[in-house]
Amino acid sequence: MKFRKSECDQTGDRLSPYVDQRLGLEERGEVERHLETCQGCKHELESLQATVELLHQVPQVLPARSFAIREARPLPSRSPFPMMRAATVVLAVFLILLFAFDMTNLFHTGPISNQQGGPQYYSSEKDRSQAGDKNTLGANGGTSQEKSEAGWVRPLEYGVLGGVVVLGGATLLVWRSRRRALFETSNENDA
Amino acid sequence: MDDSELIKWSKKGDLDSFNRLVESYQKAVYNLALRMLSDRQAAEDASQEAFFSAWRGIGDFRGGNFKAWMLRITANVCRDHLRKRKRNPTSSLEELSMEFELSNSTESPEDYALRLEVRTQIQRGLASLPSEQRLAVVLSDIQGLSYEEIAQVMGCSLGTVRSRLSRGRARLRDYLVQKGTFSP
Repeated sequence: MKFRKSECDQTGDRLSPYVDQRLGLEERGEVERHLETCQGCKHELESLQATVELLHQVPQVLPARSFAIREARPLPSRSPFPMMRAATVVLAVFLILLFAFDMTNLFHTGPISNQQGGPQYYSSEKDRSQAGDKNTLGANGGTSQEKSEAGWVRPLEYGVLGGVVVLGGATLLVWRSRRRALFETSNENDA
Repeated sequence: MDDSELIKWSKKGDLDSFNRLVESYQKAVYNLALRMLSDRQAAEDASQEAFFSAWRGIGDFRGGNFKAWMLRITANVCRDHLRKRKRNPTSSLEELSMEFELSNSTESPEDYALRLEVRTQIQRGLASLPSEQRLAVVLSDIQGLSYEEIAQVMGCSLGTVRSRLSRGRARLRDYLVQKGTFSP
């Protein structure tokens, strides 16, 4: 009996799981009905079974030596990853607190009002004198609203932000390389 | 002491416990590497490397099938070796005469020679497969793992295992037919 090529192709794809008894009842029935009438696929099944049988007969070879680890190697807990992860979290929390304190004006870095009676905060004499100069300019036609910040706050914020980014990136790289070393899967050559 | 106890002590840094696991699994690890790399020296190096990696990463083992975890590490080491070999094709492959089996008493010299010839053809056929198909075939038909275990080792779905195994077997069958190992 002649079959359409697609029917034989479909059966061909199912022969390997059929040999392993990994087909569902319906698929198994379809394969068996096809095999009863298609000599080509029946031969294909027989040669596939013979191949699997030959593979089953391949003996397990004893290694010529032991692979026991004799020298002291780094202990499993020596990876820098846990320390780096903890350091990143601590630094990130510190950065968040820093921003929060800055936004609530805890460092007295908020806007300086030059309206009469308004609050004026300066973190140093230098800031005070600079602000004084600016206010003088303002009185002479320049801007009247100025801002001043504690000199150390912004550099500290940017520094910590940079630290979080660099440390976080390094932690991610360590984590990825650690995972890759153990569990990398490759799809290359996957025909 | 069973595997779970040995793993627990290994995680605490006890090398003796880990070496008892090595003894239990070194045959499976070595045979996988041997069938993947077709070279005894490379298989020994890969096996040793796999056990070192496992020792370093034992803290990451979250329970389950230790053999599958160990074979997964071995498969990755073999992939690295194959990649290096691809980049450096001058490194010669050992001729595949790795079957030093003794003839059994009931076997004629002709049968013994034929058996060795078939084994050599099988190994050559395996070596001709794409690495992922070879891995699936070796794990299933030589190591005797289930589809589920193969999926764990290869880090892929059951459908992918089925497909790789199917293609690998069919390709190996075609190779053996072509070499006259058996008729179609």
